[in-house]
Amino acid sequence: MSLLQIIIVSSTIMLGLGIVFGAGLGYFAKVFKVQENPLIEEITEILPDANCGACGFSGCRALAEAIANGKASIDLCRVGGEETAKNIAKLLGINTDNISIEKYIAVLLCKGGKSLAEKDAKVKGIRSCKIANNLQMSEKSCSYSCLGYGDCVLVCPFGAIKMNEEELPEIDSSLCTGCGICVKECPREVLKLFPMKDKVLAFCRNLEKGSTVRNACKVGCITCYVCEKKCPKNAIKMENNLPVINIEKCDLCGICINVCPTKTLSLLKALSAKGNEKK
Amino acid sequence: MGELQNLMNIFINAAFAQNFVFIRFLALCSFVGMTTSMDNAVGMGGAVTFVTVMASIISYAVYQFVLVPLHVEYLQIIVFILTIAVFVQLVEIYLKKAVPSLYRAMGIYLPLIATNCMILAVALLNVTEEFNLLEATVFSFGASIGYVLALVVLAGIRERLSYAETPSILRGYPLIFFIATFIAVAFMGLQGIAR
Repeated sequence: MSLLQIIIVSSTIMLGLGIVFGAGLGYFAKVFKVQENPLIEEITEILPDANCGACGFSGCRALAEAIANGKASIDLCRVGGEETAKNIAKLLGINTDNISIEKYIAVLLCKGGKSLAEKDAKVKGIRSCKIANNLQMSEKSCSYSCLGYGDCVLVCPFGAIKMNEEELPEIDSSLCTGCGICVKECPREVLKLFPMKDKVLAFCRNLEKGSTVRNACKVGCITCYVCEKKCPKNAIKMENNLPVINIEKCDLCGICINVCPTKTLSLLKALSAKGNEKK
Repeated sequence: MGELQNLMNIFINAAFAQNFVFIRFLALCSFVGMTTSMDNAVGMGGAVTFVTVMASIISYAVYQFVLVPLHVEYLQIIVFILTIAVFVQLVEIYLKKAVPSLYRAMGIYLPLIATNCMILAVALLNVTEEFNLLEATVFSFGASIGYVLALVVLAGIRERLSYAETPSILRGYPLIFFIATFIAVAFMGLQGIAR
């Protein structure tokens, strides 16, 4: 058999088999055609396609399916926020006027950077917050502090977190979508989600008494009660050795920020503006 | 040796004594990838069983009635792969319609059944061992039962392992390969129970 014959015979057989199999598959595909709701595709287009899972579904497509089937509300997507919710509402023919979603941002509630927090150990090996926390291998004396190995930087799907020279994560408020993935990742729970508006916050999570905190960190809350006494609106209450600020009473006068001896209290907006300047 | 005894022999041989995962070390990708939970393992096992049996019957028929009369046996690998791919596609279409949750859980591993080397090995062994159609069917069924057995055993162990405190250097895939090794050693003890 010559080479040409081999080629002709082989390709004829393959072509024949291909046609037979293809016809069979085509028929089968027609019989088992999935009647999919066209809404799912359209909602998926609107959703930001970040697949971050902050809505509680396994991805944008799963959320779109749930919305199309009426099993999820349209305002679940935190990344897309108000705009996405309104677009979906338009698609579904719902009134868009009373839809308003607060934009959230992740905030690091620890100021204890490299130069301010006392260190009593040196960690060698893998630099990971999870491992360090599980093995109780903290470099810093404060056992409530940010560990500073940047697990949150790695998990952020939007690239909004960077480590600064103080070895603390810095959150870019223009990129942060408030999905909350870093909050779930942080083993020390120093990252928290807050509505993105002006607000006085205590940037410390240490629940121990003042003298212990003073030995561990220069910027930790030492439970001196000065902010509680000086607040003209009585908006601040100490709970578990930390100040808790009642947002409804607070009028952002800034007295507490000025009197705080360790500069633990700060305005949330001031922090994010500083972050933007650096960028 | 009676006919039934011969078939029994082929079955036991394919499923246990020459288990495709533990003795021949084929199909390890899906063996590790699809054993995260018992549901996934059973679903994958069912899909692979269907594809293996159907593809080996059809590829056997194509080999005997098309390739041999035309003296083009050298086309066997490409023809078998085509047959397998067709049945994988068929299973995919069916699962998407009938069991969408399993379809999503299987993800990339479903189309990857087409590259599951166990199925191609069964189709090729049917030819080299010179089985007849009945023997080939029993052989392919036995092989896939052995595969399902391997998947279910590992899935059961992994489901319990996820609650166990394991040494951190072994956590994840290293431990799974250790376990697979130990099961493989146990299966070596079954050598010789069939022909």
